[in-house]
Amino acid sequence: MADFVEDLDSLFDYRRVQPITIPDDGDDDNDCHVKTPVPSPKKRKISKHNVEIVGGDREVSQVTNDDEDWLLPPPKDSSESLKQIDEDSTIKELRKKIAEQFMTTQDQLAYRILLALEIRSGVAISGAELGRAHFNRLVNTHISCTHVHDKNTVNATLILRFISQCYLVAMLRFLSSESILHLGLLKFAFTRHVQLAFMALLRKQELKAFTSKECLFQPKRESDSVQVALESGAEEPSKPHHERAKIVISIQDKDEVKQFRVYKDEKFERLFKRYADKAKLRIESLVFMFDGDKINLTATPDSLGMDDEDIIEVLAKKN
Amino acid sequence: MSGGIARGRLAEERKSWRKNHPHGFVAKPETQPDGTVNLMAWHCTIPGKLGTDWEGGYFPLTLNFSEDYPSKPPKCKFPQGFFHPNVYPSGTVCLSILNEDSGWRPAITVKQILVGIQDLLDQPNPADPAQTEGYHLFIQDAAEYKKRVRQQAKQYPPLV
Repeated sequence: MADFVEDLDSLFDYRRVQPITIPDDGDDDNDCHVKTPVPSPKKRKISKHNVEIVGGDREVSQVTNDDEDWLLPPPKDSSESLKQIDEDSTIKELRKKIAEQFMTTQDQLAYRILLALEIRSGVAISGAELGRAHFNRLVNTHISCTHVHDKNTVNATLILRFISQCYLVAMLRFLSSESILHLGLLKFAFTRHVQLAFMALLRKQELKAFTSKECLFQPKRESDSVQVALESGAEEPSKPHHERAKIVISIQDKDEVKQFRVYKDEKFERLFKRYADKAKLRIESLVFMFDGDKINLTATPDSLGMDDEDIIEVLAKKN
Repeated sequence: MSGGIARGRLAEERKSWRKNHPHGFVAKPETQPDGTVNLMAWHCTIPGKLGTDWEGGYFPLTLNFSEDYPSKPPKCKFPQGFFHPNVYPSGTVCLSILNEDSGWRPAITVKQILVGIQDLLDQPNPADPAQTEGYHLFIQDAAEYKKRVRQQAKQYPPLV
């Protein structure tokens, strides 16, 4: 893991990355690894320092999670330039102007990307660093929002689709106003951030089984391919994160046993409906028993202390 | 300690029962008033076999295991006064496989005991009577015997 991290770090040493050498070909995996040397620990230190300065002055201050540690190290001289940015009213104005134009959440994110590159074009390297922090925070925020919204299933695919859409929006806006060179940078930065965001997500989930490195470490040319690659990898890891434990329950009538997989905290009502549908019987005509006791529809496997493969007996009510 | 053996075996019996048992049967260790489970006493239900006069009845049976189980069989009891030629007035079931000196083997499971008793209900053993009323009616008055059996089945309807 440490190796990857360091390799990735080096990608953000912008002094070394020339727009022209940005890996345009998604198939060329090693391109970006080879080109840039690993930054020295000293540089890393400076990087952290810079982030703190930024945080003191701007909203970026929330970017204080652990991921920051293994993000790019900015150039040595950036702290001074960053202050300039903060004081630069024209950029702030520009920002407001763009913000007004972008109303939707997706556009907001696209706007952040644009901002990142605009600042960057104005104040060169350090600006990008700032924008990167913005972008990173946004991505992280969105991920955590999604996470909270859907506690049980972290839908990484959804997030990535969202990000990819943002990317497209940003790209279109760029095509209309900016040079190809910036587009390349945008693409590069975006891909990188999708990787980081996704990695952060994975780490958050303490997912160790995830192994599709090729998805994570290949900058793809098209957002679609990023999406597809990550999507294919994302399905597997999301499975073990169901916090709701499942259980197999056998329902036995006088002729046979049918097995059902249910959540342990799910009311029996749903299972019984499934059973009745399958057996083509009316649920009202059936009585379900566990250990000799009638099961209440609002009970759950948990509330009855049921284990895997416990048997529920079904009897036909006599009228 | 033999009690450890009995409880260990009974825990296994319970586990396997939960995963697999014949339809309509119930067998669970008794829960004491303080909420603890007593593995040594089980409350069971034996359904009357379909197609017999016993059909429709769900007969309560208790199994009392000793510390010597499974070397010794459990004592199986229906309610007092249960009508059957091979059930003592106390309710205790008289069955060869439940007799330490005859058919009992430590390998016999709770499931086999309960199914064996279900078989006994409709196939009494006149060679080994345990109560006079049931035995005499079975031998002398088949119609009355049948009537009494059906009547008793209605006394023990399903618990639903």
